[in-house]
Amino acid sequence: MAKKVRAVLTLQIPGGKANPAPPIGPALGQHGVNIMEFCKEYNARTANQVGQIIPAQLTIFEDRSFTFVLRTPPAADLLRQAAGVQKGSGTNRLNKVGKVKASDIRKIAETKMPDLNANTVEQAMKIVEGTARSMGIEVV
Amino acid sequence: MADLTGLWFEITARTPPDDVEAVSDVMRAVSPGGISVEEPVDILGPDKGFRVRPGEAVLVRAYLPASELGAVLTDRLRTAMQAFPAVELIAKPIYEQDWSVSWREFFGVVETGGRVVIVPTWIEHEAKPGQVVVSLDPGRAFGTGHHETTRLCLHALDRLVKPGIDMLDVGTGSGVLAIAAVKLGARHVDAIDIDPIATEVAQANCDANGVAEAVSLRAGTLDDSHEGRYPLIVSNISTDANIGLAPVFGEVAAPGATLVLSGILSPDADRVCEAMAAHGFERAGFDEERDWCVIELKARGHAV
Repeated sequence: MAKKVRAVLTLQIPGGKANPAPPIGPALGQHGVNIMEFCKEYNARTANQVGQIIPAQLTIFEDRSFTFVLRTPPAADLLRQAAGVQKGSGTNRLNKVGKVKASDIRKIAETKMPDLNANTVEQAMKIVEGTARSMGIEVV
Repeated sequence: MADLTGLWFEITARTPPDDVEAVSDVMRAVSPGGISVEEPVDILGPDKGFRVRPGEAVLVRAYLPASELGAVLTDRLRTAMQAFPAVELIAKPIYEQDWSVSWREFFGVVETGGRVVIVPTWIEHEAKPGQVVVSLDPGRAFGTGHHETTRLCLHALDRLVKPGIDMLDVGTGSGVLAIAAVKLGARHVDAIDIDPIATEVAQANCDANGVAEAVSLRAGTLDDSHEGRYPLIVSNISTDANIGLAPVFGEVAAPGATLVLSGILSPDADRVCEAMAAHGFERAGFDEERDWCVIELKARGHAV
C-alpha cells in the first residue's frame, strides 16, 4: 500500500524483555502504535539475546501501523565487554576506566559497520575509537 | 510530601550527532528499561521512506521515576553529562497510565461511506442491518482503515463485489480488502504481498474474521507466471508499483474485468491511466479523498 512515514524512532532496550513500561509505553503510545504487538514481536526476535541491548528502529506509517528492524548492540556495550569493564562503571567519563586493543576496535567496527555512517572499516574504527575515548576507555 | 507514585520524568538530551553513542550510553546507565533515540528526519513521499538530516541534534530520551530513586539517578545523570557541554537536558513530567492500552485512543470505528465498517477488536460494535463489519487489530501491517486509500478501495469494493465473484488483492497488507471482499460476497480472494510479515498479519486477521478458507495468501511478487484470471483485481500499492505491474495486470485480468488501483496521489492518475491503456484497460471511474485517489479501469472484452 501507499505507505507514507509518520515517524522514525529507535528504542535501545534489553533483548527479550520488552514491556509497556517506559521507555516503550510513552515513546510508542504518543504515536498510536500497538505496543503489545511490538513487544511480542521484539521479544520473539531477540529471544536468544536476552538482556543484551538490541536496538530496534521503528518506522511508523501515517495509518499508525509500523515495521521495525533490529540493529547491532551499542558500541559502548561492545567496548565494555572487550575491556572487561563492569556495566555502569563508566558513568564518570573523566577517568580512565579500561583498555582495549586496536584489534578489538577493528572487530567492533566490523560488527557495527551496517549501522554506522561509514564507507570503510577504517572510518568505522575512527567512530568506535571516538566512542571509546569519550567513555574513558584507552586504545593500546 | 507530594505523592509521586505514578509520576515519571522524561529526560531528553539534545545531542550533537558525534556524541550520540556516548550520551546514549550515559542515559542507558540510569534508565535500565532502555532509552529512545529520535534522529531528525525528512519524511519523503509515499513509499519513499525518510532521510536523516545530517549534522542536526539527535533526541535521546530516558525515563526516570519521580521518586527518591529518580532524584538520585537524575543527579548522577547531570554529573555524567558535564563531560558533554554541547548537550542540552530537558525534563518533562509524565503521568503513568496503562500504556499497553492507551495507544488505542487513536483508533475508533472507521466508516467507509458504504456498507463496510472497520472495527478495532477491542471495541464492541453492534452492526446495523446491512453493515459489513471487518474486525482488525492495528499492528505491524499497513491497512488499518485509517488511511484514505484503504477507505477509497473499500468504498469501490462495496459496489463492485458481486456475490460469487473471484478477486485478486495485490499488496494485501493487513488483509483488510480481502476480508471485506469475502464479507461482501466474494467466493474466493487470492491475496499477495511482497512483505512476508504482511501475509502473516493478514492470515491472523483472516482467521479472526472467519474468512480464512476463502482467502489464499502468498508472500512474493506478482508476475506473469501467476496462473489465475480474475474478473476483479484491486491493487492498493503505489503509483510506480502499479505502473510497473501494468503488463501483468493485462495477463491476469479476465475479459471485461474491473481493475481498481490506489495508493496513487491524484495528480498521478493520468500517468497511471496511460500506462494501463497500453495493456488494454480503459478508465471507467475515479474517486478521491484529500490528496489520494482510486481509479477504476475496465479490461477490453466482455465479461463471461
